[in-house]
Amino acid sequence: MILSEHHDVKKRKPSPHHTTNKNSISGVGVGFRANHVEHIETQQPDIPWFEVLIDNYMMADSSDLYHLEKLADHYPLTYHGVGMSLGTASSTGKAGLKAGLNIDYLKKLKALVDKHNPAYVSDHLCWTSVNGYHSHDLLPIPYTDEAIKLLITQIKQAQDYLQRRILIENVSSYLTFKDSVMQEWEFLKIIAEQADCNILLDINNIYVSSINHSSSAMDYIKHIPTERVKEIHLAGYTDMGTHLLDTHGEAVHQPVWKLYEEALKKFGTVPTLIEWDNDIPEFSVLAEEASKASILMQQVKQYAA
Amino acid sequence: MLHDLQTRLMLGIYDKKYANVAFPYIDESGNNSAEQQLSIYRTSIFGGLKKALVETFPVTKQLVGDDFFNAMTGRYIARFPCQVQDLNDYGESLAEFIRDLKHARSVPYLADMAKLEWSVNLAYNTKIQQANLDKLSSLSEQQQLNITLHLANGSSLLHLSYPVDKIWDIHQNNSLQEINIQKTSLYLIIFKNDYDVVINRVSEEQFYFLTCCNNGLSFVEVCQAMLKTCSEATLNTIFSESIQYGWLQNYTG
Repeated sequence: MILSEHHDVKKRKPSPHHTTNKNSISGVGVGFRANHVEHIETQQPDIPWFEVLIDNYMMADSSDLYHLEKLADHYPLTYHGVGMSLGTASSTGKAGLKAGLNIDYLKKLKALVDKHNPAYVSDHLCWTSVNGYHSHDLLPIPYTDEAIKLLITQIKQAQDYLQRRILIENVSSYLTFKDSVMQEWEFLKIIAEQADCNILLDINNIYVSSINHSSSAMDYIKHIPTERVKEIHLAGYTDMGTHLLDTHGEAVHQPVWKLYEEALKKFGTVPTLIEWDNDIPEFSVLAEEASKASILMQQVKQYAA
Repeated sequence: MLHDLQTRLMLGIYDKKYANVAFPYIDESGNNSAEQQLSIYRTSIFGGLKKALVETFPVTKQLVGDDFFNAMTGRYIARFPCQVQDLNDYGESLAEFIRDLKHARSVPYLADMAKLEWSVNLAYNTKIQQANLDKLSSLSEQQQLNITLHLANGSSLLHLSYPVDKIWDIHQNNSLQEINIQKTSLYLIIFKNDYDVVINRVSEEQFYFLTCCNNGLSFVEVCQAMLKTCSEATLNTIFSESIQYGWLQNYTG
């Protein structure tokens, strides 16, 4: 099974993943969550686009997919995943579809991508599983040449398989490795450029990691290549006393808003998402957060003009 | 090199006893020690998996309370690290784990409840399948004898020792009804009918018939096995009921 799918990839002509996508997005979107399905379907709120946690629909029965279909009928979508595990290294030392990448996951993802043609498909600059064990969490990677080589290979293969350019997102981290030989922004920049993928810049994650590791968030933003940033994420962290935790369980904090403003000045009015995954409030709270981001976007736009 | 790091990190996260295998890779020049950094991930990962187990086993949790369930699932996760991509598929061994857990012996029906909830979860997360038994009548008698009958996708046949289906039912209805939890021999089929998960009690004979079908025996082999212990009239009734109640939904052959 895996072999024949791998051959499909090899036989495929050079990827046309750099084509224009009709399903384009702009402004501030919010995450599509089960708690809000009824509200969204009945009220059709004035939100320019929704981001779908696509892993939730890969094993879904018809009732879940029915709601996704309804959403796709009314709104532009982006697909955000957590299961590609782009940074998983195989025991053989080889990279790609027969090694680190999960072909079954990619196959299910491609079926949904082909169906709805989302504006963007994104996943994280991390690994989530190894040797068949899954963490269901976004685990950090050492910033080494070996990891760069692996990620470039696996991102390219994922893009070839999906036949489109993907976005990779920086994650919050709580651990640093002795082996790392560069800053995260440098690691991300090299990978994005050499794998020819785009970047989903999570401003909250930059802030959380900068506090946890005493680094400069502004420096991070300054070094990211502008033309690669196609989407921004905003979310709330939780202060655990010893560290900040990326919980997506609170409103966006003031320092993150400040950093977002700086990011808009550098990257322009990039489509932005409000994420909220724990203790999810009423939809109106998310809409209010989206409105705040929207106002900031307009202000920066006017200032730039 | 990277694979080795990831292997050791995963081991150190899932089992604190082996955390030291990951320490050589972790930079301790900041404020937190290697174990402190690792434990942030351990807490997060265990938290996510516990949340998944709570969603799959809500009644099991209610029977023992938050603290016991939290401690029990913490041990379970360390013993059975997650090996599935979909969190709905995590928890398959919880019933057996509870059966072997000394601290859970004061609630003797807990393992049966976990087994029932796992089966409900399996049925719930199964894709709805189109039944094809209406085409049976178009087969000749000889063809009918050679077919294999199938239960609905994601069905479970359970032989349990306590009336946990009643406890589960009470939980669904938020009822205050008291029930007598005596050890018994309980046969259940749990299956998906349209979008609903159905739990039906069945007789020992019905259970045997459905088990034979589920084991892939042809219809003639099922009949031969059944007729050793029951009459033809009983077999006909069981067969009709199995179709009528939706226990059997498909055939092949």
